[in-house]
Formats: sequence, C-alpha cells, structure tokens
Amino acid sequence: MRTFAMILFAFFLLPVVLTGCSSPKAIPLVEKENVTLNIGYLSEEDFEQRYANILQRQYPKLRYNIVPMKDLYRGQATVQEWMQQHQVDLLYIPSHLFQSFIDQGQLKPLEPYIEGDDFSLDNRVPEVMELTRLYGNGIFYGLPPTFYGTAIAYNKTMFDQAHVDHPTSGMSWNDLTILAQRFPHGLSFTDKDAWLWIQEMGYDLDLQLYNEETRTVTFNTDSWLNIWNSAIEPLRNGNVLFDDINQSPFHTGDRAMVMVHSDQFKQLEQLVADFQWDLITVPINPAHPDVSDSLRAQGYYAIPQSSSNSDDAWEVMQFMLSDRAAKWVSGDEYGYSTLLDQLGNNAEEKKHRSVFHQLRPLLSNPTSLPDYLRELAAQTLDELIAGTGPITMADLDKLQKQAELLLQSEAPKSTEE
Amino acid sequence: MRFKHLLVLILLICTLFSLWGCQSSAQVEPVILKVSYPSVQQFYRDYGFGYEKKYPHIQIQVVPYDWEAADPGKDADIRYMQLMSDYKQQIADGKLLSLAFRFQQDRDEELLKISPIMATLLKSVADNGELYGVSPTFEGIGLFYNKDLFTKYGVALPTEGLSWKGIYALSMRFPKETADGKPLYGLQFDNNPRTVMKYLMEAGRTEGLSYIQPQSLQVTINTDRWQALLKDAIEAFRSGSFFAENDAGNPPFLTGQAAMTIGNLGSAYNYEQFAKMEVADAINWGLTTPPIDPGQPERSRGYSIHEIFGISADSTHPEEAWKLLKFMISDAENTRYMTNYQNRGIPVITEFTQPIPGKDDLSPLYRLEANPDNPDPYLWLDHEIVNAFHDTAQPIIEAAIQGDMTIEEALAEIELKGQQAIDAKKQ
Repeated sequence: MRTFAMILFAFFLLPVVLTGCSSPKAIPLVEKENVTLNIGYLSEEDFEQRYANILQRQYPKLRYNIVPMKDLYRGQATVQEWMQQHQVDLLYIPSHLFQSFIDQGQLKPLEPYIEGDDFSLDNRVPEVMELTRLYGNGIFYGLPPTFYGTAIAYNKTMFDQAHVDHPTSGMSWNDLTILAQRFPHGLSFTDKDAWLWIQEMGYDLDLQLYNEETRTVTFNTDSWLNIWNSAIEPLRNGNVLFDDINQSPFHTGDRAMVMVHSDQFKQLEQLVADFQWDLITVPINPAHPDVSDSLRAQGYYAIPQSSSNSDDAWEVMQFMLSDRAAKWVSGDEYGYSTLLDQLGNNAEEKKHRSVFHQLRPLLSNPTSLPDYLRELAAQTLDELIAGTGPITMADLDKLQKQAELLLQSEAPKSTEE
Repeated sequence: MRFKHLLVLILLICTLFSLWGCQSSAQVEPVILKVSYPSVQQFYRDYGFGYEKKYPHIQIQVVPYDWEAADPGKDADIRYMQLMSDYKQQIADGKLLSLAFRFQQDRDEELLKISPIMATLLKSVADNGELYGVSPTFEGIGLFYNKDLFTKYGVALPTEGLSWKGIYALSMRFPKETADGKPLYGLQFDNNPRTVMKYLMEAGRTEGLSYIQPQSLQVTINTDRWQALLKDAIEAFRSGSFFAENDAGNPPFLTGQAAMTIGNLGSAYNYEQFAKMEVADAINWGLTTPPIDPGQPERSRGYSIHEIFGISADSTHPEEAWKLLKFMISDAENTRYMTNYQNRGIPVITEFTQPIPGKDDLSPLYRLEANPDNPDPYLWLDHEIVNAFHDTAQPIIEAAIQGDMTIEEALAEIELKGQQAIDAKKQ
C-alpha cells in the first residue's frame, strides 16, 4: 500500500514539477475565447490605415471594436462628456488631450501594471518617458508608441567653404541668429512667419506676452526689445527666411541652416545632395540649457478607470508598444518609435534621429495671442523691417498702447456660463 | 523497498529534467536575421511578423534594398532577387547557399505540398540543377472565356489543352459585331502591347520557339517552324478576330466583347473587381488551361517567378535563414493571411489559392507541369532591345496580313531589319 501511495504522490507531484517553471500568470490573451475589447481611436479607418489587421494576426480569437474619438479630437465633446457616453477598455489619446484626461481622473496609473509585469521602460527613449511622466506629475498615465521632435540641420559644406565653425547643439537663439548672419541665406523656417519666430524666441526665454485671464499683454520690456533687435537686421537682410514648406531651398544648397521637424526629416535623409549636412538640437534657453519644449508624443495608449477589462487591455497595450508593432507600422508617418532599437534602420539614421530627442522635455503651454493682436504685432514688425536703424523702446511702447486699446475695444471672449 | 527507491530515482530524474528544460528555454540565444527587400514594411507584414510570432527568439531586420548598389544584398542573411537573370548571376557568383541538401534532409511534411513548378523553374537556371532559392508565389496563365458569348453563338466551350491552332479556329467562329452593333472579338491579351506581332510571339513561346539568341543577340526567325506558325495564324489575324489595339479604354473581355483572353490569377480577381466598380454585369467567365505545345501537351511555358529569396553564402545564421524560407513558402496560417492580399500570385502550396465564389476552379492556372525551357527574351534581355525588335517587326507582319508580301518574305525581312534594330539599340 505504501508503494501505491508513493505512486499516487508521484503522479500528483509530476505536473507541479513540470509546470514549475512557467509563471503562475492567468491564461494569455492569445488563448482566451470570447474576449471583446473596445478601443478608442481617432476613427476606424485611421486605425485600419495604421495597423491593418495586426490585432487579428496577433490575437486571432480576440474581438475588438474601434470606438471613434473624432468628436473629442475636434473639440465637439469634452473629455468628461465623451467618457460618459462611451464604454472603452483601451484608449489612444492624442497629445493635446492627454493632460485633460489625467486632470479629470479618467485614467489608471500604469505603475502597478508596469511593475507587475516587469514591463521594462529601459529600452525606450528616456526623454519621451520623462515627458510622459511630466503630464502625470511623476506618474505614468499612458505610454506613447511614437514621438515627434524638432532639430536644426546645417549645410556642412557651406560652413566649411565660408570658413565658419560648425554650429553646435545647445546654442542660444541669439548665437544662432548671429551665426545666420554670416551667410546670405543663413537660416530657414518652413512653419512660421517673422512675428511667430520672434514670439518663439521670447517664449523660449520664458518671457511673458499675454495673459488670457487678465487680458493683459506685455510687449514693451527690455527683454522683448533685445529679441526684436536681435532679429531685425537678419530679417531686413534676408539672413533669416521663411520658406514655403513645399519648396526646400535647403535641399538645393541655398540655405546654410533650416529648422526641421521629424515628420519632414525623411526628405532630407533620402536626399542625394551634392553637399554634406548634419544636425544639431533646437536652440535653448541659457538659463536651463538642457531642456526644450519641442519634444511631443504622437499619442498615448492609456487604460481608462472605467475599463471593464483592464488586464486584457494592458496586454494589448503592451503589444501595441512592442517592437513587433513598431516594425509593422514602420516608416515614420506617425512619428519615430519610442523604442530605441527601432529608432532607425541603420547607425546613421539612429544618430541623426537621436538629435530630435536629445534635450530633456519641458511642458510649456504659452497662451497664444488673440488673432487681432497677432496681426497687430506682425504689421508693426513689417513696418519696422521696412525702416532703418535699431528698434527703440518707443516703438514697442507704441505697439503696447495700440494693443491695449484693441484689448479694451474688443469684446471679451464670450464665456458660456 | 527496491521499487520505492526506483520511484524516488525516477522522481529525481524527472525534476532534474524539468528544471533543465526551464533553463534551456531561457537560454535560447536571440538571433537577428537580416533580410534584404525593397519595402521594409511590406516584408515585415507579409512574413516577418508571423515568423517572429512563431520563433520569438529570432528578430527580423529588413534592410532596404538599394537598387543603385552594386550588391544590394551584401550584408543580409536572406538575399532578394526580382529577376531570374539576377538569381542566375548570384548563383554563378557563389553568393547563394544550395538548398538541395536542406530540402532532402528536412522532414517537415508541409514542404512536400509545395508545387513542383517552383523547383522546376528555379532549378533550371543553375548549371548543376540544384535549388538555390525559393519563391513564395509564382504566376501562371490560363485561357479565360466568356461562357455567355460561347453559348449565344453556339460555339462549344474551349477544352483543356488547346493548341494555338485550336484557339485560332475557335476565335474565328465569332461574328465581328454583337447583336447591338458593338465590335466583337474572339481573343484579346490582358496586357499591352496587344499587337499582332505579340500574338505571334506568344504562340511561338508556347511552342518553345526562340527568335533572339540571348548571348549573341542573333535573330533567327525565318525558319520552317516559324513559317508554319504564321501560316496557321495568318487567317485569324486577317479576320480581325484578335483584338489588337493598345490603350483603347477598357479591354473588350471586360465589357463582354471578347470571347477569350489569356490571363493570370490577378486577372481573375480583376474581372470581379471591375464588375463591382463599373456596376456592370459580371462576366460569366470560365477558365481552362493555357494554350499548349502539341509536342508536350502536359506542360506549360506560361509560368513565371517574380520574387526569389535565397540564403546568403556569408550568412552566419543559415539555420534560422532556412527556417524563414520554409516559413515563407509553407506556413499555412501565414499563407492564409497572404492570400487575402490579392494580386500576390499563386501560393506555392497551391491548395491555399483562394477560390472565387461562384466561379470556375482556378487550378487550370497551375495544373500543368512547368516547362522550364522558356524562350521568352524578355526574361533575359533588356526590354528596350526586345521592344526595338518588336516595333520593327510589327509593320512587316501587317504587310504580310495585307497580302503585300508572302509569309516567307515577311519573316526574311523581320530577320534582317529586326537584327539591324537590335544592333542599333545595343550600341
């Protein structure tokens, strides 16, 4: 009888021993029957265009519905309204709405999932991870598969021929503008006009311009005057230019430097140019030289508090952030992969692309000027460009006065209460 | 007591084995397999994704194929070749591993399902007759016909294994116009150029007749066999029953104005697609085997291959590379997904071909054996050279059709002037 007991014991023990090494986790989603997930995405067509049948390929048994978020993107519904009307298990939240989702307490912190699954973030672009945490005050409320950045490309050959030292990463706007003046066509922008350039330089130095609540504007300070004056001669002489995005004078060797966004960078990478070029970071504020607000995620995968199946949502989310999903989407139509390994196809691509995320992130949300003030500033600038000599405080005082008058005469923005 | 000891021993061994099992699975070395291919995304979606799912320790890295480079597949484990001539050259240069041994040794039963058409074509270019590459798909042609037109005009449906002579005869049984006055044709080609010369060349190719020697570029077309071929064809050409216009809107087969056409799998899907797009009545088409060489009725020269993958002789991961090739040609799940993308050719495991609901079986496109002896000069020569010959020959053939010269005179002149055109192009 004792041998019989022993055999019995052995039989019970064997499966324990055999399964000993597999983790005690629940059934993986791949094998689960009858699971349906509702995934919030811009629209079904957009999801299809980006991902095609990847979820069917990965999870043949999974059923999923794409819940379109168009209304939310367009501002036709608030986050709260939309979330009340839709039952979703997983969301892809565009950058501009991520903060609202967090502030309204709609999202689950991901730390328990990340730690519970040993989901490593070490292989991801650290600056983008830091950016993600900035939104959540140190907590991950979502994870981005891709990001966008900005950099400055420069024509090495042109610099060498002019015997000018190459520009370097982490320059100030002031230094860059001075450098641009060493060339007939020194620096090109394709996304802004002259006034927006001046505004950006001021914002990068943390200058105040407009306060939406108090409806006050600040044009006439010494700091602003310095910026206007640093810009006026290059603008008059055409050292700094604002080119059509569809023309690329940098590509034909007609500009020494150009500000380039990651989503236009492919054209430069594929360019067969008769000159050499390289990249540096966007200009910085000397007061905090290692940060910039130019880094952005395309969107964030996140799990809503109201998710009825957050575990499976987390598994799908991990997959959407995986190298396999990154390779499936490839290209950079949706930004660069946040996976360091997938950032480029070869060493050169990776080196260039790393410049786009080199500076630490900064969440800045400067309020934009009302249209009529922007027009006024742009018009004033045009007049000053047409003139001669340096800009004086009297010029900016005049602008300030006109702006204040406009602010008084324009009815305050109607607020629906 | 001894039994008990034995049991303890067995238990101990079991435990050890299972522990060892755990460890070894954790110790599988990650491998990165490099594949040279024009589109990073397409290769990954077609094959890489499924392969990585099946073999999680292997990563696929697609190296974009640089068309300008002298050797685009230089650093890759898997080399991609678009043309048979490229494949032949890479074999000759010793850049590819022979797969003969692997095909013999591998016990994977799925491999047995692979159509011999692939191997026949790919082996034919190697001097030693060995296989150096695989192709997940191939193209085959067939004779499509409009069942309704055949019924309407009381012509018996085409049978399997027609020769060109048979097709000429069938073609001429249709009137020149439909009942409502629209032009009607017996036969059209699916692709441009649709010229009389092209029909003649195609008939020659079917029977294995060459006219340009690929190495010396010597033209030889004034032969007994070409004369016989043209004699058979000339009446059909004269009758105007072959559609011979280029870029003239929708081809007549699509609009129900041609009784027959030679097409491939993509054509079959197109007919369906066209009916949907144009909200026209779908053609009630039938399909049979392509025209054959009466000398070898069980074989077809109508097969072609457009994507070849081989293992680089320099690959440091030939085992994983072989697994990938095998996966590409024989993984059932992956091929099922692939066939959802139409216009990808016939999967080499032909049973995976997606049938078209309500239509004839598609197997005539791949039922005949492959005849690797394909004299089509387009396979080996610069297309411009062949086109120069074709453009010179076309008006001469027209003259023969008009009766302005005899068949013998026409072929003699094509041989002379065609040679001059090629010589001029060559320089």
